[in-house]
Amino acid sequence: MAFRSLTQHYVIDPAQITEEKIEESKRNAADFVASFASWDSDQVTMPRHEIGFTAHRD
Amino acid sequence: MNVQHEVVGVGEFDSHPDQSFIADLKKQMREFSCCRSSTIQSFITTDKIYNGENHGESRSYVICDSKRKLLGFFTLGITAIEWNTVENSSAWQALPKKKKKHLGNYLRTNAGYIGIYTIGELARKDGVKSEDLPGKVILMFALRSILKASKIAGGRFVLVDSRRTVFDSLYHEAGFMEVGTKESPNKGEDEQFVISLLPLENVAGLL
Repeated sequence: MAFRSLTQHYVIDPAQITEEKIEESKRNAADFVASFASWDSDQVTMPRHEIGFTAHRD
Repeated sequence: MNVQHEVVGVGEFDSHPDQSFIADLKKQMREFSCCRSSTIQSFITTDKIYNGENHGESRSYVICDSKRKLLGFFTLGITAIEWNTVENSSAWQALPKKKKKHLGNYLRTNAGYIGIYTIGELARKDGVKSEDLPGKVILMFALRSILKASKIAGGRFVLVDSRRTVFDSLYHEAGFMEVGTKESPNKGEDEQFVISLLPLENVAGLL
């Protein structure tokens, strides 16, 4: 990973964006999402602010 | 994947009711090891992670197991891409008018840039088994957080700047598409890094 992504902008290579890649992205993403279909969200404790806690309620 | 995980935002450390847990967590962060990337190790073991948080440049989240042992972390933020380069590409020009309209409507700004989310860091601690925290689970947590942000503030893409091996084994499998390469950010390293994009609508089902 490169932390630089937070501090600079990117000029992307237009030749790299093809319809095949767009379709492949959709298929792979669908498989990725489906692999979490049986994911038990009760097994995860998310950040407290996301589940309704605030500093004032503590 | 039945390990119970706890995701804690670095931004909530000060208000967390269990400050002894936070003190221990900070100690574990200072001792975090990631032999594959000196930049990742430097980020989480020094003040860099807190400086990014305090200045609003990034938001980091640590992932622990049920015994509150630190397993990994990820860092999110905002970056930008030049959209006009995409619009001028032959691939874009070849798209049917309807598809171009769907993908490109409202995206172009006067300056030719669009803001997009980025995953700045994503790592599992050395010694933590893949089955205890698979890379795809860290990525799922990161994408869920980005999807929640996009529900509030908008945004259609996420960008990752990563090693090719990580792109091939993780990001490509999750639907990211390679859109360019860049020199390594690590001094003295010849390896090219892969710049990849994911349309958020493709993973909306994670929420």
